[in-house]
Amino acid sequence: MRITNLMMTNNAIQNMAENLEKVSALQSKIASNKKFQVPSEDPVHASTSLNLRSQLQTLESYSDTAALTENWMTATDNAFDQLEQIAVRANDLILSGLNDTLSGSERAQTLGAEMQELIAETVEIGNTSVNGQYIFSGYQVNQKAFSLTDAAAPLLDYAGNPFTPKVANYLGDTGVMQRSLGPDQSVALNVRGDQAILGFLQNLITASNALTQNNVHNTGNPLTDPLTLESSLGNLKTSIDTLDQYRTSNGARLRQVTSASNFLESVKLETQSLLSENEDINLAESIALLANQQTTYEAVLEVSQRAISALSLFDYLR
Amino acid sequence: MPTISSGISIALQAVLTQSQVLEITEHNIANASTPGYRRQSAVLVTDTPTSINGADHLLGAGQRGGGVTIEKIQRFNLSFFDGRYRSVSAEAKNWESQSEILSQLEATLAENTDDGLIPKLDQFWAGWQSLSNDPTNTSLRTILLDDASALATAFNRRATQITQLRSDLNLTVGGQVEEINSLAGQVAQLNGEISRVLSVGEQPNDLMDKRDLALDRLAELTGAVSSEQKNGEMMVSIGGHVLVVGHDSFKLETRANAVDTSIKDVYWQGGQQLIPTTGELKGTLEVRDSVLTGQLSGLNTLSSGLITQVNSIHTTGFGLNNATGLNFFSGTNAASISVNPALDAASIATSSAAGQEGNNVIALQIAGLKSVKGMSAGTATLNEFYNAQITQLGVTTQRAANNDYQHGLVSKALGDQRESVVGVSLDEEAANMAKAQKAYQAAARVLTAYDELLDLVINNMGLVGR
Repeated sequence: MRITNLMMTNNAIQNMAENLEKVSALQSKIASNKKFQVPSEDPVHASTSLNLRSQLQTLESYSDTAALTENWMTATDNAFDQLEQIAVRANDLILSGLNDTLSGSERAQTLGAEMQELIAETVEIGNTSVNGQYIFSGYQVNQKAFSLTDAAAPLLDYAGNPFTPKVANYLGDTGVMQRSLGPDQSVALNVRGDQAILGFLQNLITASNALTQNNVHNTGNPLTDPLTLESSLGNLKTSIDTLDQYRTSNGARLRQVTSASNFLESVKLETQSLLSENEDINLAESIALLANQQTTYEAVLEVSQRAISALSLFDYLR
Repeated sequence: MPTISSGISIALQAVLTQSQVLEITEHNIANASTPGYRRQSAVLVTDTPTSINGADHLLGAGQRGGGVTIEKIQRFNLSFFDGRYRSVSAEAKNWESQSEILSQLEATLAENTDDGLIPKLDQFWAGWQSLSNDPTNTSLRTILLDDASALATAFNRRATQITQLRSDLNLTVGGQVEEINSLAGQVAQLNGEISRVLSVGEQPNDLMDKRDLALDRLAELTGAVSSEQKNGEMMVSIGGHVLVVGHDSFKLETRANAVDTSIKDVYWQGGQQLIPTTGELKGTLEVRDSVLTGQLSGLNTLSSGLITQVNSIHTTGFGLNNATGLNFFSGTNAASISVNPALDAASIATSSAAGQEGNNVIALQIAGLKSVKGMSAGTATLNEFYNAQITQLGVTTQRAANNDYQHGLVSKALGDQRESVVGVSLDEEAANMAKAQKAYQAAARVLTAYDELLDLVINNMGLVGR
């Protein structure tokens, strides 16, 4: 083939451009640590990367939800723990009150007074909030779950003086909030105060009233018997059972959330490693390739400068 | 009879011829890197001989050479190579222009960075998910509004960019049409000059170079093919329609598309539409009318899917302030989508009933839309739909780049083949130069010899016995 100077120059330029392009591609790969900069460089992997990133973001969201749900449920469990301590103390107070050697004033002023403190504490615990939200109020998270108000009709205490008993009110609603821990997995978040705690609180109030009234033993009168201290003991047991039941169910759901949270964490790690495998370069390999490409480029430059500035016959003619 | 003067004239002829050969070499060297230049060379022939009468008898002793002369200046060209090179370079240019525009689009969309539409969608879903964790939290609501308007802006930006790119391509098409018209005019004019020069028996080498250069460019633009007529004129046609015949050229023009008036189609002036099959014009039209239109309609489908799906749930819900029936997004397509301006943080509906702050049923439903297959007849989620579209664009761009590279190589190989016949080799010219120089020197020496002869005859003859 006849070779002309223009061909030599064009070839040299093309070779330099192609090699420089390869060097630049490797450089941007190494600088960005990614196998591709735009989807067209590797459409299949780019699509996979987009998918994995979406998944990762979704997993993060679920993970956040799981963490918040865990906080809420742990707070619920703590509240139940405190309520159970109150229940033990209330049980002790009632048992002491059933002791016939006590006088009416002792029942009312020592035991009754302490029982009223327990009631106030129970209301306090029933109004536990997490992150500014009341956890026992159903959907009404901005509303305290319980309040104590004065009863309409006064009762007479052990000495025959009138006193105003308290009435427990539930201010929340029947809402049960769901938290999603996955596309098809959701868990009930809250325990409803009216189901779990209200009965307990009411029984404490009844017991407190009985102590103040000095109304100890059942007399066989079906109208007054449910209000005696003796009946309170049985009722308290029932409501403690209810507390236990809700605490257990909350605990079971907490375990579910914890395991979901662990699962999410491990899937997240796995997805991250898949993503990295999919789009991250092997740095050592790329740097070796770059070094190789640079050597090639230097060789091309060396050859090109000879081709372009090549000696021609003119240099030798005299 | 040979005379001194006829000898001088042969030597003079040789000196003049060799200096012309030198000039032709000089012309080659001067144009070694002129685009479209074909090397030329002088075809030397012996001049008309004269008969010599023999000394002994009257029969002719033979013919005496009359020296050298230039028969013609040859232009190296093979129209076969031209045709092959042009058809391949048209296809190479087609893919080159597609590849250029598409990679430009891809770079501006930046879909696999954090600026991509999919990360924005993900953030939007995540915003709803966090709000479902804490519906009363005003800052989460504000964040969601921010994320949603970032998403809407991302849609708007893409729609604007694609529309802008399409109108830019209209300008490109207009420019290409003008260039075709001007080149066709040049070819027609050169046809006239070339046929005139040829008709008086001369070789218009440099005019032909100019015409071939214009034909190369016409082929790159539209894949125009040309055939040489007997009188040396080129007939040029695009897709079977004549562009240049003789001294006349037909004009192209752009007209607004009947359906979509924002784009311009190419028509023969006063005639039918030109649908190029190759060349830069084809590449530009292909990207503008097929790829960009597809991308834009995909974006519109995606945005209207998002708007409908989110709004249909959102309107049934209640906000913190018990606002209900509000759309989350307003607008209908990628260009017009925005967060409903009437929507403030407190009115974002998260609850399925009024007055229940903790109720997150609606928020959960909307957050759940990310895994609902509501696109492409229920086979893809919104994310998957757009992912497919990005991948499609990536594949198209990749194919254009690969084709560009491959056709570019073939085109270069054929160009080299042509160049190897028609290009100037400086070494060759140096050799030719040396040859002509030596011949010139020798002829000049012969002249000197005759000069001495004349000197002898004029100054030294007839002095005997003086």
